[in-house]
Amino acid sequence: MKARIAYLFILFAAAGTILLSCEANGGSIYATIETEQKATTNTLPTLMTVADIVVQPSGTYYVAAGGIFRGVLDTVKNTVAWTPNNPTGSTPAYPFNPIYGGVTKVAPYDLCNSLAYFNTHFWGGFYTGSDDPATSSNNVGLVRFDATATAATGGTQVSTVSDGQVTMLRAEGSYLFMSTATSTSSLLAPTYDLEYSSDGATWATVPGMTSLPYPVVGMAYDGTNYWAVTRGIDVWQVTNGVDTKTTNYNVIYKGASPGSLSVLATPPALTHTAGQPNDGYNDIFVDPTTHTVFVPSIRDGVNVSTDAGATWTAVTTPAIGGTTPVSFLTVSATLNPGTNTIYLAGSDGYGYYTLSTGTNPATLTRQSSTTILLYGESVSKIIVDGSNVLMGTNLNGVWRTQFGTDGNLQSGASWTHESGGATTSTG
Amino acid sequence: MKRFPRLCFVVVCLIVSAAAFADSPVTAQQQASQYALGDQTMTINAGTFVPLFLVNPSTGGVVPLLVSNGGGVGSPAQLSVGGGGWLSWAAYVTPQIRLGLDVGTDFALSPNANWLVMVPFVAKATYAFNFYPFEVPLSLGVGMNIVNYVGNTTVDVLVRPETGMYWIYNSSWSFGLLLDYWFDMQFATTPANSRIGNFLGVSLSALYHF
Repeated sequence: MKARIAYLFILFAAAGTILLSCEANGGSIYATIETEQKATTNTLPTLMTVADIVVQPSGTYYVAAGGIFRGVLDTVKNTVAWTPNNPTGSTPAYPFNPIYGGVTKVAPYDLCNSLAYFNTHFWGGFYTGSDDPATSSNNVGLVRFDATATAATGGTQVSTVSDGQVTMLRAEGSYLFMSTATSTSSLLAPTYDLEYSSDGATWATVPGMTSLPYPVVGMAYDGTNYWAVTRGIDVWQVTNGVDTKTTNYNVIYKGASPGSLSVLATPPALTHTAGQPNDGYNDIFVDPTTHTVFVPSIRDGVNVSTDAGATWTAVTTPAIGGTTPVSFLTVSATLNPGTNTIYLAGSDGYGYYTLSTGTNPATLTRQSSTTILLYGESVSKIIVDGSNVLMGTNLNGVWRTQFGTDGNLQSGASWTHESGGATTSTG
Repeated sequence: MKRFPRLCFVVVCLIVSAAAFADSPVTAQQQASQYALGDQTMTINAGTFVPLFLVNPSTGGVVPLLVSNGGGVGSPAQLSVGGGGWLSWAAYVTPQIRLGLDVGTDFALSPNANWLVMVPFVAKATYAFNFYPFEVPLSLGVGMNIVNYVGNTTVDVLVRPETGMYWIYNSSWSFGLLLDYWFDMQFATTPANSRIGNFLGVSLSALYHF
């Protein structure tokens, strides 16, 4: 019996000696656990609808998709590390709570659907799905964020538009433009204003662009003129056999200053065919070098003007299946020189298209990467950052790729469906 | 954590099974300890591991572990309630005192669901009060605790007092509930990172004499 006890003690001592010789790695396990915080996983959802993307500075991306996400490009690994950009020290506190019936709602929060970088700050436009017309200040509206090296933080509500639903923010030329929606009754459709500011503090409404029944969906600046475009569903009426448009909700404005924006007298034509969807404008883009103006439309492809809007050419693409016209949501370009300037057009449901190069684009070619989900997605936002191209989609998150050495998006180029840096698909 | 109720069930089944094959109950005359030098015991224990708090010996700061440390409302605790089990062997040196060894394992989860796994080796002295048909053991264990977390391993000094109550079923078997308090001293190479872990174990126990 005593021998058995002795053996056990010897065994215990031997095991202890071996184990005590282990490297303790600094011995700070508890100190680590003490401060550990739950890491956010899947930091950029792959099934979200992207409302806006801002690059500031190059290699740092901010995505508005209800919440705000921030991505930092690792040029060596060719990955983007995404994190939710939750601003601390905001007034009111972030996330922003809407007020309904006099009661502050915990959820759903006010949603960010537009972003801009202007005057050394980030600006976020918010709207709420539970807007209460009877209560003032129920929506945070416009928020100015401090731009730091690590995040857009310290948001401050801009009280000027405290009750407006911000539908668009664009920094163009020397101004920050904002489209707001307000409603006086939950039973009535909202009306829209276009406001502008040179400092973000003092705002003015663009004359003639107040209480519009349709929103401003795009802004651009060509170095001389400001451009704005509105979108709505025009009403057509057949009278005595003649099909006539009785409203004109799709309007292009142009002016040398925000205060002098006026209706463009020679807009691109909009197609209307009985039994078919109405045409309309979705956005506007101006090449800052050539000043070519692009207006993506619902039924007429991309309207292009090389003479400051005097004349237009509709660059179209064959209808899908021979019957469904391709609607284009946005246009962007390679603003890095390269050998060619490439114009990219985001379609509504058919991925992206490339416009033929030159100052007078003439063709639209659908993306060649057919094996990725992007091929069948609605591309609502295209951002070109050096050799990187980011595309925001409706319901399918952010996709990213790079230009090849020849300056083109090559056939079969690798695309990353951004979700935290992992490559999940190639095409 | 879903496995813990299943583990408890298995332990209870083992205890009941063991009891079914055991001798008949002892008589009321056996109120004093019937064990003497050379008698031995084996114990199987399984239960809940409750992380209480950490103490920084450099600053005296205390960090509770069952709540989030600065993570805000809804954030997970720094350590979850975990589980564990151990085996004990002991030998009587007097009718009331037995000396022995414990070896077991305990675990808990961090906010990021990483496993904190501990393997304590403890030399233990127990003084058993007999209140037939119950026994109240008071124990003090001293030993080492091998702690592993996300690839890092430390060997800590562990002091573990313990008490509880056994129901003496017969001369061979007793069943009870044990509470053990852990003073786990983790000395880091950087003194400011040293911590004293304070944990609580609550376990069901089956004790076998032979």
